[in-house]
Amino acid sequence: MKGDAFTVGSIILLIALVGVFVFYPIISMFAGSFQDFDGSFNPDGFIRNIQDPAIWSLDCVIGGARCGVAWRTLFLAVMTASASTLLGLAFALVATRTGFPAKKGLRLLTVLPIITPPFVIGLALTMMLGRSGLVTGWIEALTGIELGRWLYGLTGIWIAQVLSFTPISFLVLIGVVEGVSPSMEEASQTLRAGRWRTFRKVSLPLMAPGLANAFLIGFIESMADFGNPLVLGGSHGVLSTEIFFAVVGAQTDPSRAAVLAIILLTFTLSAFMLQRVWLAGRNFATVTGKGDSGKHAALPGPLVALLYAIVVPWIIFTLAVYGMIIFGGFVTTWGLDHTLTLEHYARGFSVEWREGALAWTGVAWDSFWTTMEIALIAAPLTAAVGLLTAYLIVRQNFFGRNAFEFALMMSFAIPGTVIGISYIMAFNLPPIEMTGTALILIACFVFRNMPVGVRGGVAAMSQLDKSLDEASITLGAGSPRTIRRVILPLLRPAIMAALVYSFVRAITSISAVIFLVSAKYNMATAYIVGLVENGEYGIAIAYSSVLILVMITVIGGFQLLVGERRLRRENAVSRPAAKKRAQSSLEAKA
Amino acid sequence: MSNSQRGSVRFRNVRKDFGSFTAIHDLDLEIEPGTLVTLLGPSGCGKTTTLRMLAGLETPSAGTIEIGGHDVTRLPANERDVAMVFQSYALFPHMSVLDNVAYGLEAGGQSKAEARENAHAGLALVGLEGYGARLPAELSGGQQQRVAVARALVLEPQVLLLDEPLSNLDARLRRRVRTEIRELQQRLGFTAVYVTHDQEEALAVSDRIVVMESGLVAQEGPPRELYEEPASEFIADFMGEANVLACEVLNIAEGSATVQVGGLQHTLPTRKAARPGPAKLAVRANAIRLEAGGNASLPGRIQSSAYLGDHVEYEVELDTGTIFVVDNATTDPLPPATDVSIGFRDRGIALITA
Amino acid sequence: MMTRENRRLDLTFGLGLAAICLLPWYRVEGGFFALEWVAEMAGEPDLYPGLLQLFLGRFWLLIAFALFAAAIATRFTMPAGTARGARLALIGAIGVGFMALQGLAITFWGWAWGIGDALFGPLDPGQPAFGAGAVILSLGFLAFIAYGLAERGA
Repeated sequence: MKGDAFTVGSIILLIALVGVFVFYPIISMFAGSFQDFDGSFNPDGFIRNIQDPAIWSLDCVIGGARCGVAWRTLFLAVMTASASTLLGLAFALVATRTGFPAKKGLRLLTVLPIITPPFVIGLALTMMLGRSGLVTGWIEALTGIELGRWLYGLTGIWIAQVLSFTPISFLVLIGVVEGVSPSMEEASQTLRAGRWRTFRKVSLPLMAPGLANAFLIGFIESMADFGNPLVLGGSHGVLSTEIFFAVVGAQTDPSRAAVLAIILLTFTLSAFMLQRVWLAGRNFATVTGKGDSGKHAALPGPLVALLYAIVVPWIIFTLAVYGMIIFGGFVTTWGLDHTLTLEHYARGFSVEWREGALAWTGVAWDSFWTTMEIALIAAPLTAAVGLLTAYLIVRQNFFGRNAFEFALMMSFAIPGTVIGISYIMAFNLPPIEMTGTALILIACFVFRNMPVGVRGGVAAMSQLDKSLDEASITLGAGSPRTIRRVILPLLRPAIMAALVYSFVRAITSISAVIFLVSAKYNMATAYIVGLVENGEYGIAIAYSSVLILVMITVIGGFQLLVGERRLRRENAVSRPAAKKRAQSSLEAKA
Repeated sequence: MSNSQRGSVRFRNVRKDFGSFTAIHDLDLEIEPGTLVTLLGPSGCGKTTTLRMLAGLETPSAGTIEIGGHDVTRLPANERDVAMVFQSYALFPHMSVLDNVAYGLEAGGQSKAEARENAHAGLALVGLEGYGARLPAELSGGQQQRVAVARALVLEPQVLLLDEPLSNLDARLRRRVRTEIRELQQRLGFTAVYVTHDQEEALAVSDRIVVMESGLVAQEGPPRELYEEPASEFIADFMGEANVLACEVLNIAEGSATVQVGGLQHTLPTRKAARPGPAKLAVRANAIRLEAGGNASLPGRIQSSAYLGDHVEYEVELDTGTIFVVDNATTDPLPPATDVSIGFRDRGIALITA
Repeated sequence: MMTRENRRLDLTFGLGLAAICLLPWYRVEGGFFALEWVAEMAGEPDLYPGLLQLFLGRFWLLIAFALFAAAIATRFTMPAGTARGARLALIGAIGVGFMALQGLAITFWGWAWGIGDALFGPLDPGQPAFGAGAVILSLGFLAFIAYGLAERGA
């Protein structure tokens, strides 16, 4: 650490902020599980809840009705992770190793989970396959069999989660599949191995770390998912929804919520640690940064057929689900009256001209503008905090830097539900009281989305030769000037990406937000969930479509902006080693 | 521009640790104002660390650094009166050449107009007038290098630091640019500290050379002294390939010594305080004369030979080991397995007393 | 550069003094940024700045103010340099630690933990959540750590 007040000040401020907004809430939550309502120490609640058979029961294994919620959540997470990894691999192979006609379109799929509020898939599934769903109706009419409520429960959540997370796994695995050096496969083929043998013995094992990574990401995402279980879970909740109902339900039990949150946190953090250990142990890093010429080995014919058989129906299914989302906003009453109408949009987003002023009369406007306002405040803050942190991590050497980086990355594995519950437990009482304000929402978004900004910033900054900042400093410029004149201009794409990402995430997230909204500051997603709970599907789906549209506009505009930027002097800033690091940090995406 | 301040540099007992690894052990070094001093050594010897400590990019673990008589040990890099030319040049890729050169001037508080004017003068100094509007990537490697030098020089620093400034240039350009740097330094008279691992480059540009080895100064002196009178085997080998042979100092006269290698006696000039007894002799590859014929005071046998156009390289086996010989007589190369007798030329032989 | 080090300290002192003497120390119910507190401040003890809170029985705040005063004294009695930096950083660290500790230990109803009652007896006026004054003074202590470490050349 040089004697630079700006750098030292930034580091200390960041540590203080992360301490107050990430660690203090989690610690408060732990403490809260041991406290009575009046705050005095009382371990009874903790002891009662941690032993609760409703959490830990293994009845289903021995033929009982069902297992505890912890096991069910774990089971669901494993199933979701397996399915989304396999599907993601199939998609990645199709997109990179076959002559599939619509590869570009396939890659567009990866944008979907970013712009889709998490419960929307669940909602669309209900409309297709639920009790009064479209497809359910067809099947019942054709076969005369009563299908009933099969969708509500783990099966439905599983389908919704696989739909939601396959694109994420696809995104991760594209990099992995492309990363397998063609020369290895060519070597294998020159050693007289056939296509099958090459694929099984060389390509697949080289992809193994990436597959494990994708699996763990799916696992963590499934554990943290709140929207889909809320819509589809019915009475068969998972940990994240149980936490919610322990706080807002009929019998409020903060200690139970805290215990459930601790269990959930333990699961996701263990998965995160496992991923770290796994990746550290076996990164084959076949991306060398050297120009690796050569072609990837063609896949065996039967495998290609199998992949098509998996991928094509799934694409159709996904498109149907999204079609349902658009369509659903335009019918009068889902399942009963399918006449087209604009009524839902009108109720949500009507505008009138009253007494010479514009009146936002639609019911959705209030939460819509709050959401936009908060997202617009949170996005630049997130980007600033994230990139400043990235700068300090990459460029400054300070005591405890590695621990700091690790803690930040770990905070990404904290499920939103846990953040929500820990925020209300920490910020409802002195010394820091923020519940019911816009500030708590902004703080939540900034510190929840910061790790992504950090990761993007670290990747971008590692591509800038360190001697650029050193040159600036030896030329007499201080840290602020160096950042403003040299680093920021060179990081513009990373800044834009962080801005857009945090903006979009602030709009789509639900799990933490639902705990933190208030009458005065209601967010769009929380409002939509309220609509769903009241059975107002039409307007809920109409509102979701509008949100998706807004985000497509934002992302599209961003793409245009970056596309137009003259990308000059790439040769001067990108070095092979840096590229490799950027690549591996992309692979470490969790 | 012509009145660059000349600053002296002084390292006092400087140590630098990176964790448990000590990069620099107790460095004491004095650099006279207006001289060009080269830090020379293999990679990892600590020469770049020394330069970076002088620039303020690393903080010494112990000891003090003075520039122009002032203690700057704790002064941050941006407040030191030095400027640095980086190995990668580190030109800001998003700024024009002129903005690059004006950058430090603006940081130093000059107005935009003033900074631009001085930047133009700086570009003229390195012969790049008219290139100001270009982006660095639109220049050739040699031009980029000169922009980096101009960017540092316009600040009129007390000391100019150059970190392997030629390593990104191809061999032919390297020779020209190093001459330019030396000329510029002598014309403007600034103090310069120059880091390189290339001994030829060091010999060509320096007033003095400091050879470093694993964090220690191995020898310091004018180029000629280092080449002709290496203090150790390491220096002898590093300053130009040398064969190190065991010898016996027979007697010392004023300014010369007579030594014996095997059966061969040889008298060479030396300024060192040598004592009679066993010592070592550094013999340059081109200071050895080979003659066919086995019956000599120092016999050898050709192991292999390689014809390289303007010279022939031999590996010759002696009783005590193998030596490497360069012979400029290419008309009649000696085939392998020829018995030869070894003779020494007058120059290129030095006594190592250490 | 010596003047720069003092200038940034002086700025921090100014902000800190404003936080202690002018801004409401505790949380403003209607929201700080609504600025309604400006008009209501005189008649409402809950909105008093930190200095006046001392006289409402919140004597423990004196420790924080004393630490702040110690930083000012350090600035004017010692020359800029390694020793002063270390002293400032230490004062800042103690200050931040004390602010956090008193905030957590004393809530609306007095001591938050039984150990406070046991050691010091019951505490009558508790305290609400941090307001602008308390937050800015805490940031001031953080700044002392940063400037102190920077001056020390850590």
